[in-house]
Amino acid sequence: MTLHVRELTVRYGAMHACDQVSLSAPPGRVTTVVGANGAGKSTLLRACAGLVRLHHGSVHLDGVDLGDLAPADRVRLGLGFVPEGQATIPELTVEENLRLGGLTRPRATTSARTSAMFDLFPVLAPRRGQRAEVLSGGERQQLAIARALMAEPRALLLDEPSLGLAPLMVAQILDLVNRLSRETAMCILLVEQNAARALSMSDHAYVLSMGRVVAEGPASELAGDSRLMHAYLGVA
Amino acid sequence: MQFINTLLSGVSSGVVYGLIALAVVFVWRSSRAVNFAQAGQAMVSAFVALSVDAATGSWWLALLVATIAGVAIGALAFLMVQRALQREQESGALIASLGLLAVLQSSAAMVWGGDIRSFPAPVSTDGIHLGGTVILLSRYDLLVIAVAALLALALTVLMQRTRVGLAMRASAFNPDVARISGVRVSRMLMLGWALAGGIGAIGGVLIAPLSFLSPNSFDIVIVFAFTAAVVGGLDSPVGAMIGGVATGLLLAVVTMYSGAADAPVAALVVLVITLLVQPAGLLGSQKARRV
Repeated sequence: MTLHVRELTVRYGAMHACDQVSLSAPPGRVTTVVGANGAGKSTLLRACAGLVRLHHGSVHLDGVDLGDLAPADRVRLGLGFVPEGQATIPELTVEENLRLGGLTRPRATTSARTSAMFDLFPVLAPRRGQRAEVLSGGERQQLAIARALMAEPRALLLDEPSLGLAPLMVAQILDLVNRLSRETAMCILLVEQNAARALSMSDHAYVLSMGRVVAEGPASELAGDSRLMHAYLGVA
Repeated sequence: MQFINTLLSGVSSGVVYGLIALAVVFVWRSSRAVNFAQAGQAMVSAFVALSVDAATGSWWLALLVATIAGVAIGALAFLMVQRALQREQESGALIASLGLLAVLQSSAAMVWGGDIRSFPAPVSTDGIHLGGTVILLSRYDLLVIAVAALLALALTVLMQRTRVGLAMRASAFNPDVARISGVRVSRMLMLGWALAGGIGAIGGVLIAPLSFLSPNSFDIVIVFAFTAAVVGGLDSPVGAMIGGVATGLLLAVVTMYSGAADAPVAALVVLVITLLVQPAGLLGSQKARRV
């Protein structure tokens, strides 16, 4: 299971939000896309998930062209997406949010997977009957990731999971992402603005600037390239 | 006693306003659109029931066929407004629903004629004798209340306890999160409109024996039902039923003490006051819209 993106181009009017972006995210690895605000990182993930139309290029999951498939069909093929901003449904309870994530899987397995999520995210267990709106930001982010995991994705797209969270919570969540990729052989494509932190926990990285890939390589090498970090990521 | 009887006479029509309001709420919740054709759809469904009842003599079979017809008309109505909804043109969807209302009314006039027809009831619509007095609550009123209560219960179970209900609620609250959870949102919207059509059809068949049936006879019902929906909070199914009964009681009192002609005015006054004082309604969860 590998996620391949080829020459992905998305235009908003005359502006190229993503311009000929090519990358691949292999299984059991965390692949990170870093870049400044407005570099096109979120658009890239939304296009992979099918929420934004491509003007050119393709997205393949394990050799299957996702082409014009609707977002719901991509979920059925094993693509999970956690958009930025703690994407849960606040009006539904914690458990309903999880069940929603598991709708594409057989009904008989729902309760077992719900329990598995409460093991993985113990903070959610006592909150199962409460509406998601009463959760803290960190809890809601965990619920958003758990919702995506309920569909048993083979590839997971994560958009800024650390945004707006306290440093301790950021560390916890990124650690969990790392663990997931190792233990489940899932391919994880992570988008982060917090470049130093994201690079420190990922395997391979791409640097996006003005919608284009300007650098790629092992995450540790990119993190050590102070010129690159300074030029594109605003890290001194 | 007279006042109690007046109130009782308003209960069953109030329950029916509640059902049509429930249909309005289902459409509003699923697609943030007001379907002004809702009562027209109910009217056509009631005419279907009239034909089935005339052909077979079975009122219950007529109710069943009319409900199925209502579901189908609801799905067709969705297909008509779908493009406008996808482009997020609220006024487009609204105008499309008004167009559909005109189509339904003229089609009904072509098929069934423009005359006012009476509609049979399966049980007596006369008040029940209790002791020496007559209570203005007929066996038919009790049947209306029972059918509406069963329907409300079935819908609650569907929405709260089933996978498809969860998918429908998720689609209504946050279509994007529903989509990336694997829900086919436009199918859920269509299902919402279809269910609304079925609910409206049951409401239409239930109210027809209490009044008359003609292509325009439900025009005023949508005013009452819309009032009920807004009073209840537009996105609250429970609020719709409560608003419906409250509207029915109010109209019965106004009809008794002031005259039937004043009932629509009273409903509109309540509608305006609600929008001015408590725009989110009694049980509405959303914040009021500022215009």
